[in-house]
Parts: sequence; structure tokens; C-alpha cells
Amino acid sequence: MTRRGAATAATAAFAALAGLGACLSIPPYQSRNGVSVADDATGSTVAGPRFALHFAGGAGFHFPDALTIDGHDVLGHEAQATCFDQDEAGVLIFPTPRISAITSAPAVRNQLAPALRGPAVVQMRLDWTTQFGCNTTRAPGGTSVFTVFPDGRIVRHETLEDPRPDDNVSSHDCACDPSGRDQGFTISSYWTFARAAFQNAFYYTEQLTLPLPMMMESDVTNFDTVCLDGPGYHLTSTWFTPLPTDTTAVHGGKAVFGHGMIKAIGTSGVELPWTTRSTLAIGRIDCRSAFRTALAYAAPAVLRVNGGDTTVARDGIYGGDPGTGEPGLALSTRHVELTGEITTPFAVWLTFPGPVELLRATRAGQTGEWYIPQQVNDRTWIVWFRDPLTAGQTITIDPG
Amino acid sequence: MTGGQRALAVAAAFVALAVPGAGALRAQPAPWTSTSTTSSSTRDQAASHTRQGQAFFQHADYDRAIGEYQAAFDLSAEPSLIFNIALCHDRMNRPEPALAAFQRYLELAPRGSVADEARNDVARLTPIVARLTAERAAAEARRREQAEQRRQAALEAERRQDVAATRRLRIARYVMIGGGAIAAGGAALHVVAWRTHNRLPDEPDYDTYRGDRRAVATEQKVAYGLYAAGAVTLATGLVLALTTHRPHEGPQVSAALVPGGATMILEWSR
Repeated sequence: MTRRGAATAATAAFAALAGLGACLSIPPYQSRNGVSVADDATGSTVAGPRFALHFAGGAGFHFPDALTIDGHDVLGHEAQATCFDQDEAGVLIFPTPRISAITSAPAVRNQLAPALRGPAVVQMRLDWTTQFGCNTTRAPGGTSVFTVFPDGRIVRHETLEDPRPDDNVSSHDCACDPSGRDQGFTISSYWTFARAAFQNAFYYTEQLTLPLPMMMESDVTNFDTVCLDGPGYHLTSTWFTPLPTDTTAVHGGKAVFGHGMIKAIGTSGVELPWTTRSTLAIGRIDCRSAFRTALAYAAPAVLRVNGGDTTVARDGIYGGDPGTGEPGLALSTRHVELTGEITTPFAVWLTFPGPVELLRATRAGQTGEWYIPQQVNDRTWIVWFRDPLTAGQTITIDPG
Repeated sequence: MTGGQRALAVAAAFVALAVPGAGALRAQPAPWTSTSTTSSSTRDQAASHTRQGQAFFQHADYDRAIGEYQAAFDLSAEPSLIFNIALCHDRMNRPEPALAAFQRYLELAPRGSVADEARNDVARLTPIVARLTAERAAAEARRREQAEQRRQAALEAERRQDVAATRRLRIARYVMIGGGAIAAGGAALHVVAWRTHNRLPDEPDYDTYRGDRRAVATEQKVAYGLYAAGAVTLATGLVLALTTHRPHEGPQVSAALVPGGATMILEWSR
């Protein structure tokens, strides 16, 4: 090699050093079987395997305006809905205009943001505030949090508040449609579903699973869990009613089928705050199986984490946000053992004592993508498990 | 004859020069005493120089005496003055000019009044001068030999320096090639890491992702290690090359910042 050649080699080597010196940014894990969130021109979409939940953009409240299962939009869309009728998904302060994507209620605050972006869990938080037309000092609002899991479970919890509860209003004055006058105020949190997307509906009793007439257009109360039977999919809706003043109701419309929780509060005021919690679960077998899953979600078993009992938080995650804004089971060791008897897919939120870059879960006999981890921050992870945990089984989680 | 006696003899010659007619006392009259063409002025001057030379001679100031005798000779062409000059050189232990002057005197006056004495001096001085000449020639030969040895040593040192520089540059070249190869290995590993990195979004499950991600991290670390080792090796080679001096060539280094990085150019000039 000539000296010029050596010089060229040196130059090339230095150029290579300069060109390739950049550090490769490691993309976070994106599971094909997980959930993710993306913004689009019409709002935001949370996508999972064979389903997608779309949140509205635009001027209306950014509640969900579409739930697609196997390409079918199963969320209810009532073209002739009265201003205070249930439509799509949202909140009612009857007889004022509903709080949903399509509404005549003014949106004073309307902020949707993802708190968790997948792939194990996507959590969308909507902070909203409206204003009564009958008394502009009354500006009730709330926070609705939608937590979506890869198995098609959507846990919704929300809080409705009113900063000026002492300013009396009357349902007569506040009704957005004359048909709603003098019936008193009712607050409701609801989902509606498209009749056309389902062949039948069932409700659950202690002993029986009975068909529910689809074309019924009057409200039927005290059905905490209903199952909608679609072509190749099933959807269960469960509302949790811890207080005797709350009740659930099935609402039949022309094109929609609603299921929500209701609280009647008289004619002269709206008693807030009010909290609700519900779960939608997509099933693929039948409604009987879907009911079992829904009931398991409604009464989740205790998960033992390193020997300590852990319950499901309101966001549907073991160790999730208990309402303090500080989710995550604080671990004293980096080694985690999960035991218990959990009959559904489940997720656990763990806070390690130190930074964890990667983690590994092991369980005897597991194959495929049986778990999906999600790093929340350097110490905190959420792990979603595809399969139930049976008695005697142990899942271990270790960093590395 | 002693030195004093010789001086006296010379003095007699001077008298002959200085006083016209007095040269008859030494049987060798001064030339200008016997020719009418020599002016008395010139004669006086020559005599004056002769007397002055004699005075210097008697005071052992031989160099000035030589000057006066030479001036007198230039005016008079009297051979005995050359003899006197020879005597002065002899007194000052200058055998070579003394011998030359004695020989010249004999050439000018082979039967002069002090010719025998001059011949004795020539006989005495000839081997001395010969010995001095030989010694001088030997010294010159030794000096030349030493100079040649020094020149050869310098040439040998330069040759060795050149050989060492060549070897050092060759080593520097190999070191830089090695450094480049190491850096190229790092780049190749970086490409491997890049390909593994590009697979990450499409991994079928987390365990595969985790394995590939760890592989990327390891490959990157090794690549960076190779980059560092390559850079150090290259720098070592460059330093080695830059600190190697050859008379007619040398490396030139230039560096520049460019968008997205930096470049360095190394050239040798011959």
C-alpha cells in the first residue's frame, strides 16, 4: 500500500467514525397483539387485535364515536336522537344536552390525551366541562378515563363534578327539548351500541341467561351486565353499582341499544360529584362465556404479588391508579412472583426499586406472546398476561 | 662559526654595502659600487635599510630586520641581503623559509663571501625541512583520512536514519491500516446492529424483541469499542508518522468539520 493509500484508508476510517458514530435509538416494543394509539384527522384511535376504539375530534366532546370489531362499527348512532337522548358514548345530565361527540352542549373544556400508549395498555383521559344554558354559572364537568387492553377489554371510570352546586337550577328551565321539562334531573353515564351490529342481546341473572328483546324502546333497569350477540363477536357491558342510589338501565332506541348507569336527583339540582365505573369486553365464543368473563372482571380475584394481596384498581389494572394518581405496586425486590387464581387476562402495574431497562417473564408451559410488557418510566412497568392464572401456577418477572 | 661570528660577517657585508670602496675588504664589492648606472640616492637608501636591518638584527627583531633587508635587496639586488634574510629566518626557527633563502642566495651568488656558510646551512636545514615536509604531509594525510572517516560516518548515520525512518513509516502505515481495519470492523458491526435494530418493530413477541434489543446494545457497545480502538490505533499510527522525519518527504494533516461529522485528510509529500 502506498502512503497515499494509507492516507485514504485513514480518511475513510475517520469518515466512517464520523458517519456511524450516531447512537441507534431503540424503538419501544410494539406488539402485533398489543394495543396502540394514534391521532388522525378526525380524532384518536386506540387499536387492538381486531378492534379499534375511536375518540372524536372536532367541536363535540371527545368521547368515543366508534367502536369497530372485525370491521363493524358497533357503537350506536341514532340519527334522530333527541338532544338529551343517549347516542354513541358519553354522559347525560338530563334534560340538558348530552355530553358526547355529537351534541349541542357547549364544550368549555374538552381535552383528550393518552396517559398510557401501549402495547400492554392504552389509557385515554378526557377532561371536559360544559355550561348550562339555563344558568351559566353552573359549569359541570368531569374526567373520563378509558383503559384499553389487548384482549378487547375497555375499562371506563369517570368522575362528574360541579364547582357551583349551590346555584339552583330547574329541569324545566334547563331542558333542551320541551319533552324533557319537569321530569327532574337525571345523570347518566352510558354506552350505546348499534342494533344493526348485533343479532340479539342478553342480560344476566343469578341463574339464567335470558334473551333481551332488541326492539324494546323503553328503559329497563337493574341489568348490571348485558351481552350483545354479534356475528362472530360478543360484547359484554358491565356497570358497577356500589351505591344503592345508583342503578343501571338498558335503553332501547330506534337504531341504538344503550346501557348505562343512572342516578335520579330531582328537579332542582344536580348532586355532584358522582363516580362511575364500567367495563366493555369483547368475546369470541358466545355470550355465556362472555358473561363469565364479564363477571370475573366485575369481581376480580386477588392477585398475590411476592406474597402480598393485590386488588384491581378502578382502571382495571392490578396495582393501577387507586385514585391517588400514584399507580404501581412498590416492590422491595427486583424479582417478582405472581400467584393466585385469575380467570381472565390481566395486567399488573409494577414499580421496581431501581431502573429496569428490560424484563423477562417466565411461566411453565407458556408459548407465543403470552405476555406483553410496557415500560412506563425507568422503574415502572405494566405487564399484561394473555392467559388466566390458575391455582398453583407462578409467574416470575425479573429484570434483564 | 657561531651566531655572533656570523653576525659579524654579515656586518662586514653591510659595511661593504654602506660605504663605497669598503666592499674591497670582503672581496665581494657591492654591485652598485662597480657600476656607474646606480644612482647614489638609491645606494644611500639601500645602505640605510641595510643599517636599519642590522640594528634590528642585533636587537633580535628579526621580522623587522627581514623587512629592511628585503627593502634593501629590492633596491640593490645584493645577494648577501638574501643571506641575511635567511639568517633571520633561521634565528626565528623557520627552517623552510631559511632554507629557501639560503638556496636563493647560492643561486644568486654561488661564489659569494658566505657561500660556503650558506651551503653548510643548506646541508643542515635540508633534512630538517624534509622531515618537516614529511610530517606535514603525514598530518595532512591524517587530517584528510579523518575528514573522510567523518564524512563516511555522517553518510552512514544518514543512511541508518533513512532506513530507520523508512521502517518507522512502514510500521506507522501498518498501524494505521490496522486501525482502519478495526474501525471498519466496528462499522460492519454497526451495520449488523442497524439491521437488528430495524427488525425490532416487527418482532413477533417480546422475548424475541428483548433478545434482539440486547443484541443491538451489545453490538453497539462492541462497535463503539472497535471505533475507539481503531481511532486510538489510527492516531498512534499518525503520531508515529508525523514524528518521523525524512529529508525529502513528510506527512501533512488537515481536518475539517462537515455537516454531520468531521473529516481528516492525511497526505505525504515527496
